[in-house]
Amino acid sequence: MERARARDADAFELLVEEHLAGIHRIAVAIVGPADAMDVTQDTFVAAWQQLPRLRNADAFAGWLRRIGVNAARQWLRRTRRRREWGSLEENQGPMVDASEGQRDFRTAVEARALIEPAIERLTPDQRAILALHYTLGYSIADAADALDIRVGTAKSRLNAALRSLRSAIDPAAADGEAEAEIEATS
Amino acid sequence: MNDEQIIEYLRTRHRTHFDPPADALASVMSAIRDAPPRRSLFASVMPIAAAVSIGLVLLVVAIGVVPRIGLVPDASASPDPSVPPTEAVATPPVSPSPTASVRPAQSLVQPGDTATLAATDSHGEWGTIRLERGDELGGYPDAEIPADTFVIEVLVAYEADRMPDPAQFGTPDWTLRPRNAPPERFFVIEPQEFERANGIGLRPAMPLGVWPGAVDIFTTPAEGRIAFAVARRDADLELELVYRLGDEEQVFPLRTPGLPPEAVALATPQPTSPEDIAEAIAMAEALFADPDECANTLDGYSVAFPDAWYTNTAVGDTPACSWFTPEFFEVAASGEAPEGIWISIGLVDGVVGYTSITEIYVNDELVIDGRQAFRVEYNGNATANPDFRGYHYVIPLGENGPTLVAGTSTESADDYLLAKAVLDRMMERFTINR
Repeated sequence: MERARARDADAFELLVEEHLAGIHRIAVAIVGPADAMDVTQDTFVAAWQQLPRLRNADAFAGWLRRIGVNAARQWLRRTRRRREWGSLEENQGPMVDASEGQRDFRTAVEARALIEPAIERLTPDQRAILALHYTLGYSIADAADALDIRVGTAKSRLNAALRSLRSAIDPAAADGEAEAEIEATS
Repeated sequence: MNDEQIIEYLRTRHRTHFDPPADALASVMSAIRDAPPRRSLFASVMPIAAAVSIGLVLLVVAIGVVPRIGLVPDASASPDPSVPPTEAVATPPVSPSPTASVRPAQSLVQPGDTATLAATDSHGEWGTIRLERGDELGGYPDAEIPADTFVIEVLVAYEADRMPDPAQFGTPDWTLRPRNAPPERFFVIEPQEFERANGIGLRPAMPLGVWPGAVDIFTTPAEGRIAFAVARRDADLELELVYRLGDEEQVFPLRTPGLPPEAVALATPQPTSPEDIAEAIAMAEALFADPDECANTLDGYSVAFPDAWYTNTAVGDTPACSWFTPEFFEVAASGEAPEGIWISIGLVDGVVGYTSITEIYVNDELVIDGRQAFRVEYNGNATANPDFRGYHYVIPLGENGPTLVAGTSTESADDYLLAKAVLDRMMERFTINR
């Protein structure tokens, strides 16, 4: 670690090797496989550039994870700003025709077709907490730490994310089931 | 679809892609070794910025030459390097090497207090950083802040005399910490952004971000707000703002002990409902069932508009086909814009942009009649009037202008959603004859 902080790229490469899979997994979960390598790359470049600022070498893993999550959120934010207003009308309207969806969502492929557009509509922070908690299996506390927010905020953000997701998929079905789920899994 | 099905989907989502590709390590290390040159993004911005700034215009969104839609061409060209505003780059903060010097004891304790730093890098001074203490806020009515905290805002404005090297700077250079606090109460807070409840925009308004960011809007100087969420229990501490670049830090007293501001409750957001939008679109579609068409031969465009609406003929200096509204109107002999105009189209000298004081909600590029154009929804002064919205289509007609602008706003249209939907359809049928 000390050599890496002293700008030894070979030493840093060992750190990259050790943490590459974990950061890539975070990136895939939050931004998706197509752009995960870009986010992974951004994460390690930022870590390399910021490493001299890291005071506590023992905190490297958590620090790197935060950079990774932040890089993924920033990536979503940046691309979202470019994309989301392609059609203001579309984006503010229901993403999915629920009556159509309810007839057809039974297979996994159809579920994907139904849920993925709804996920696209979530805010970067909402996507991040869903990915960390559900896709990567982080506890609420760990997700809160990775996002650098309080546990209470993480819970409420998770609630809001599920609520948004549910109402984007099917506005009529929005109910309180998500809160029970969060309590059960945190 | 119930929650269980949604969560099950999330649990299995992308799992087959978790493993990095075989060349991932080599690719990351290559990026790391290439990192220093890549940080000089500003270099690629500068020619554009210079081109824009020489003899051209940044428009202040306020009141305007294009009647009723709030545009003013600013005739004064800026020789300063223009830098892009609020959007942060994807990478988290880097550690730039510029250092800054500051006069001692510049206090930022009172709202409105200012301080300046001479920003320097390895080549010397590259510009000025101006700080202005903002208000303390018990919260934002439209954005949730952490529980039991209050917010201190600081405006940070960078004015570059030349391109700094390396070029990235902004939010991560700033932190807040207690001054003279016992160890058990010491903390460091980084600036935060708070997503607005309606999902559009952030608090603080115009957050600083990391510069350079997007290059679609140029501002001079680069500026933005940083906001620190301070625990209310820490209101009895002295607080200081810390500017850190490399190993150097500059410190500014930011708060003396005292009661925090009263908490501000999050107001229930009232987003535009999908039903309202759908209704406006349906109305607009109906209005375009058999549209009329008019032409502005002076400025060189023609456009379709609702048969049931009215437009103007040429009067005085005002060319025909400039104003559109559902109610009949008469144009004064002076050519002054009458009341009640919903949509205006006009030609503006120079290049159009939006200053960094503006909140941008929509900003996308599109093609109108074969020309690159962009569409913006904005609020020129969200602090004074958070509900205001302006909606513009901007079509540059040359590198140095002129620019065609078509727009509406919540102040000009009685039914803003309908006006937007109608404008969208007008622009789909817009023809440029120049």
